[in-house]
Amino acid sequence: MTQTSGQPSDILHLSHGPEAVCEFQATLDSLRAALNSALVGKSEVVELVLACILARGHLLFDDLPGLGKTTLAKALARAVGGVFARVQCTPDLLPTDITGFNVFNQKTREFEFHEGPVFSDVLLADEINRATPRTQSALFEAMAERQVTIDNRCHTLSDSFFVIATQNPVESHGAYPLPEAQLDRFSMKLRIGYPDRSSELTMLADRSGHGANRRETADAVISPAQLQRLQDHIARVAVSRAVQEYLVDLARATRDHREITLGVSPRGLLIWQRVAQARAHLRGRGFVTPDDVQEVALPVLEVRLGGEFDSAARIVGEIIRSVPVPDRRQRGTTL
Amino acid sequence: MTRNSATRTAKPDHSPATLVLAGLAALTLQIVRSEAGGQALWSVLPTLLAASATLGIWLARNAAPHRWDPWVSRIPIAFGASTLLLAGVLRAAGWYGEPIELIMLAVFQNVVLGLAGFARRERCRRCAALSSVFLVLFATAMTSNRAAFVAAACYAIAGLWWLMGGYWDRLQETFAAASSHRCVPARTAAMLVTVLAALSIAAIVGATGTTTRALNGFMPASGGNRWNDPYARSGVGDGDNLIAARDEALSFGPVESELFLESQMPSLYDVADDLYGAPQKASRRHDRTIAIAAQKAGEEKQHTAQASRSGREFSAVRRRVRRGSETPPDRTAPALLYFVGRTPQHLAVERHDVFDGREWRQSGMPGRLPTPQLDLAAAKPWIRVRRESASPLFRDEDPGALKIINLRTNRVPAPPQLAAVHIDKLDREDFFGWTDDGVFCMTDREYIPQLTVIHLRSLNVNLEPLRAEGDFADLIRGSPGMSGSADPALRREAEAIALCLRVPEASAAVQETARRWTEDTPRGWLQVEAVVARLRREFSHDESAVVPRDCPDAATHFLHAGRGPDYLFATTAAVLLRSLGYPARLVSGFYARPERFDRSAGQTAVLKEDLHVWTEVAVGGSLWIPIEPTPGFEPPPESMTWRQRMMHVARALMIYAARHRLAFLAAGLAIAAIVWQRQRSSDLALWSCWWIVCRGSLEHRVIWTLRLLEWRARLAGRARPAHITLERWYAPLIAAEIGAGRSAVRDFFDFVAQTLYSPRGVRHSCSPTDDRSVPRACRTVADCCSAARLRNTLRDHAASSPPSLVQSLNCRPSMESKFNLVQGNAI
Repeated sequence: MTQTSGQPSDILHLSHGPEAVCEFQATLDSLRAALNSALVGKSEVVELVLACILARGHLLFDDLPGLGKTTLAKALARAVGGVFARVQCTPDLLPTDITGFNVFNQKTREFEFHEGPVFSDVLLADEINRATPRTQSALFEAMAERQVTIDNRCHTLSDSFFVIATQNPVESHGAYPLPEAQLDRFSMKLRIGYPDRSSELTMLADRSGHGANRRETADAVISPAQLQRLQDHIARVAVSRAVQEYLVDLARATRDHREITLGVSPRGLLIWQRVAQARAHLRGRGFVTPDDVQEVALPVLEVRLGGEFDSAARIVGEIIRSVPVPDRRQRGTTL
Repeated sequence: MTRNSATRTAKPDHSPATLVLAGLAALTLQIVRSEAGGQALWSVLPTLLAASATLGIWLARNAAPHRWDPWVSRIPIAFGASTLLLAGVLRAAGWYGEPIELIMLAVFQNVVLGLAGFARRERCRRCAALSSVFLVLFATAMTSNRAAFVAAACYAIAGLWWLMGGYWDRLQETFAAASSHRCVPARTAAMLVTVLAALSIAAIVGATGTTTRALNGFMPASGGNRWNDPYARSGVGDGDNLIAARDEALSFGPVESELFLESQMPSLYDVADDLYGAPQKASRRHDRTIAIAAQKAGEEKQHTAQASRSGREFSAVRRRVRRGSETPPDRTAPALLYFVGRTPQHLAVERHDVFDGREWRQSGMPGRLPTPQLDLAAAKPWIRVRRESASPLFRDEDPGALKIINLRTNRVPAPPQLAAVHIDKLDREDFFGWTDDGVFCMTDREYIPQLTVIHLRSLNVNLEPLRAEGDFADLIRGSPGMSGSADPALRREAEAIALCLRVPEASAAVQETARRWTEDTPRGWLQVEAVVARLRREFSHDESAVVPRDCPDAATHFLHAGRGPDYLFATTAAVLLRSLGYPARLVSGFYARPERFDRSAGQTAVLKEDLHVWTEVAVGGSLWIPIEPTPGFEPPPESMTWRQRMMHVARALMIYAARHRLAFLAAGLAIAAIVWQRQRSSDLALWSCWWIVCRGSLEHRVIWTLRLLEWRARLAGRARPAHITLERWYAPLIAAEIGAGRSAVRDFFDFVAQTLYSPRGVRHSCSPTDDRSVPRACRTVADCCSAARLRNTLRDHAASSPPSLVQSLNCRPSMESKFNLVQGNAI
């Protein structure tokens, strides 16, 4: 368990209306810059990561080794500040290694609770699919309800707690695929992918001349409390009735698709709306448009659609193609 | 969570199919109602109104499908009640009435339409579809109209489609195991209620007696429930003593009875006699009759009620009435006769060939006339007088029928070019012959028996060969050279024709007029048509204008007066044509007017007022072609081939174009320009519409400008697919613009997003000083983003589409190639 050094300066003047979009812009720009410097040439992935965090969601990176999953997760944890914890998941990892455990203190003759890594603001669960299902399940309650129950005692986690998990899709030997119930608790699954040529050249030039044991020492740009207020603000981004109907139609289309055995759950639908709100906010808008919904559709749906299909992208494309975009004005919007 | 627990409501919408079903059912009933006759306004208009209201309701409910609707039960009931109310008011006022069963069906139809308006609701949809089945079944059961059966067949096809859709839904629901809840067992309850009602009715009927008693008062019947509905359809209450007379003719109606009965009532009179003077009192004469079977003859002695009103092919018939004093009075009809066949029609009764300037007379020389011959066609005795092969001008035969009612004459008021006649059971050709003036008649009879049905076949005439032939006057056998022929028949014909060429001495001035009217026209039928056209065009029909007592020549007077009744038109036309060397004669008879056509009976009443006078021109000797010189009366129909018809239209068009050549030239150029620049002209039209409607609130302007853009994209073949967002589809437009235009277009799409998706609308982001930016952006988009520009820009965009966000997220090639959904082009 480590803690990032430095606190972000309190530059935010948060308000609670969509008119105050510009007031968050500086913080968001700093956050964006911190992540972009950690992961060169992947600004679009960074935008989605930001959307996920601002939507108060948990993030799952699913990609090949060496593409920057852990780097991005660590950079995000550092940027957000607060308490950062990391768990390297292995088959022998126990649930108590994550949640914490009670130890009998010989001196005080009482049981003392030792907090596990979940008692942090940002938890990085590296290679989560290497942990056994029993250990993976230990994260269920923490992710969904931000609390853990140990020996019949409920322990509340940090309000800004979120999980960044990574998994390697290639090495399936000794891995335990995440169950659907846990996948549904993640807001989105992201793939980083290989950087393009120019980005790789930039990366090489940036790192040449530095020592092999260079450590990342970036400061936090936003405190957990500020992040929480930003998240509250984003939850107020307006979603019109037409866009909500569009979301519902899309969700129902996932349930009606012949190749999908597990469609979007109501929880997934709520997450989709929140991520779209965050996306709209990142675009500088105080209301959600169908573009926001479409742009976050793949990462949001890929983590939770079940079925025997070759490509989630194809399925999501078919779903989106099957539902017309609302292009008429409707009265009755919800804020 | 399992998939089966997921709720599924995204079913395909079958409400359009239900609307189609209801519409087809209404159409079927409408055909039946129109067949029943009456004024179309009162039956068609309410149905059209109900159908329009249904469509409106459906569209409105489509816009808000999930809204709770308190009108769902009231509107169908209101539709039905208003129909009943309207029918009651119309009946009470005596304006229009329909049979009670049609009113009931109309009420039912409007309820079905009302239900179909709410077809988005499953219960309404099913109810409307089921009710429409009953509507179609009832409607088709009471008609034999082919159009109604075609509509019912269309309904069956649409119904099959509807059922297939429903079945597919049920399948989907079955496999999806949709969550369902059951509250009231509606189907079982409905079945129970129906069974209980049926049992109650059965108990009442069983307790009170016969079914007739149970139904007494519900439906008018000819079975004697003493309810006579004046609007009832055939067979039900249509006069108490009327029967069809198929087996036993106990009363008279213009029907084809196998008995050839004769009424004792002397009700015939000759209208022509009233016009041209009463004939000499003839000595006692004996009419020829035809024998009937002995066992049937006794029925003649019975009292027969007479219904001269020929309403239908088979008049309602009642068997012999036992209560003697209750014999109903006869219904009188104003019609002289009824004509079944194509209208307008000229039915000739008398012909006059000698004219002295004041009076027409009959010379008694009809020329050569064909001998009637018996011709058995389909076991029916037809008396044939002319065949299609007799002249190249004849094309095909037209069927028709006459129902003689109050016309006292032995002449058959036949259409021109009569080919054959048929009276049921009359199989002797010597019953027929020709009068001295060349009118087909029943010889040796004083008059045709009243209520006789005479079937006719007349030949259609195609005048095109005549028009092409040129001067047919040289070919006619009545030319002076033929009068010396050895054949007496030919000689007689030539003499008759020569009579029809004589011009009265007092009419010498007419000759100059005729020459002047036709100097630009080549000789032949075209000159005849030119004279007729001139008369129809420049002279007015005036029944009150008469020729002065001392006028020596009626034609000259008419040409100076410029107005007159139809006989003066006909006289003048005959004199003009004779002076040009075309044999012409005057014909009097009846003009069967199209406006008197009775749809329910399929026949046209001919009244006394329809007495009419026209002219005939001889072509090829014994062939006389009628012409109609009086304006207001349709010329005799001409049968043309399709090619001739097209040529006729083309010629008329060319003549019209030649008269208005400047206007046509301008219009042609304009049309050519529009066609050549069709995209630009359509674009301009769209822009004009936009300019007219793009006013008012900022949101209104933005929406209309967006519509303009979408229409232009369609026009350019770059219509936005329904699943692609506006922002993404039109993003290349912004990239294509430069300078201020770019920012205006970008602003416009910001305004579009705010209008469509922001709860506060577009005004929210505009300061008071910024209010002008919305109209400015709209104007820029309307001016810059033409259809041509959209075509080029959007195509270029498609060719060089930037990699999408999702593509960059997916490192696997298969995903990259298949998903082109989201891209990061922010506007």
